[in-house]
Amino acid sequence: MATKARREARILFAAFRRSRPFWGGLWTIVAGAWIVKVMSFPLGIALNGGWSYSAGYVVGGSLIVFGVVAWLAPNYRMLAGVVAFLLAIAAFPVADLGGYLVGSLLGIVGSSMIIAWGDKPARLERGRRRKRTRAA
Amino acid sequence: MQHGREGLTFADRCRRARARLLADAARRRGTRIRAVPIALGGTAMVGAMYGLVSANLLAVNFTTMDSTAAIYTNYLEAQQAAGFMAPGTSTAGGQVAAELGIKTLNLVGLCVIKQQSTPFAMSMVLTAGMPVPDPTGGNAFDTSTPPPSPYGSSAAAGTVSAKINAAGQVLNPTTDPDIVHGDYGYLNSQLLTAYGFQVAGLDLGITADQVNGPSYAGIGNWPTGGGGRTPTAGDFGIYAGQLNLSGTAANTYGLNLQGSISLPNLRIRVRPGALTQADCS
Repeated sequence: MATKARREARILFAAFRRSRPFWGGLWTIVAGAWIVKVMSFPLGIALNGGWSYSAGYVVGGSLIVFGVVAWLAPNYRMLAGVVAFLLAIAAFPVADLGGYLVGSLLGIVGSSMIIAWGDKPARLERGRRRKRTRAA
Repeated sequence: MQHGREGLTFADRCRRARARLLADAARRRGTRIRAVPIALGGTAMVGAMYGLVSANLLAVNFTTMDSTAAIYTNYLEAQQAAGFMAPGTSTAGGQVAAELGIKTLNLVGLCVIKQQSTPFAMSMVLTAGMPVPDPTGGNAFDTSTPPPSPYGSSAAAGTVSAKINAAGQVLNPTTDPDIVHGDYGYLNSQLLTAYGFQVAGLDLGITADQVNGPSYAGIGNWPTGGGGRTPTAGDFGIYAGQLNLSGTAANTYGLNLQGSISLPNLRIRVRPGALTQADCS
């Protein structure tokens, strides 16, 4: 019973992973979490202390949100990816050098993967195309 | 058994969702190669900004709090420096810390080492301006040993002294790539060790609420400190019109640059383990 449930969970997770920009979303979420961690201030200070204290929450939190959007609404992946890409770049001047560069670079990689995610040519078709090219 | 929309039970809806997910996953999709040029473009944009910061053309926001960061500099020239201590001014760990604010600051070399508590120990080292060699052999925060000689280590002394005039002022603070120039900097520090090179206009007889007054530092709205406290009447305050320190090392729990800061020759390194000042040069 437990083995069957585990197998079913694995099948569903694999299907979830293949049907959306999973890895891009994951890297974007990790980037956002890292920026929030690097610039983590008590919430009261972040709310009252001005932009320099709240920037990490705003930029990092937005990266997390758009990573989750890419997972849960893959149809909006282009919008989520482009906004996350711009946020990852904007994190450099506003959020402790983009979480000491790590957050910005992870965010750029993740959002690029979200933007570039989509249909790939079927293996069979690609093989046929090659043959056709060779024949020509 | 609950019947939802279209008269379907919850189990039916789960089965449908499962079938839809599996059908969706059957299509051949994934990250295409076009991700590479996009990522390279983004990296180039960040690289360009890095270059602008290094060339003093772009100012950045840099703020930390409640996480230990060690700050080292060969020489600090502070114009209008004020500090205060209040019972509520403490770190998240409950340790008492002093708040220090500087209206205009020039640093001959800057090195910030921040330990990041991740599942594994790692340190981030930010250097700007000229290198900051360790003059104390790893004992920068050991208050039982004598303070370091002027201008830090003897090896760097000549280079550092060339950046300072006889009056102790830093030469060409805004144009020299070895100098970090900033304004409205605030530090929440538990320990600061330095060689007092020149202190002028020192006033110990003021209360904390006065340190922000126009007749003293006048450095604008003091940001909320580590303990959520601003300068308050009755608490101890200190002010110096000029505070020049060499071989400065500060252990900070909060660093806030409300104004702009130039970071020429900016270099950021992320390394595993706990790094020391020896990694600054």
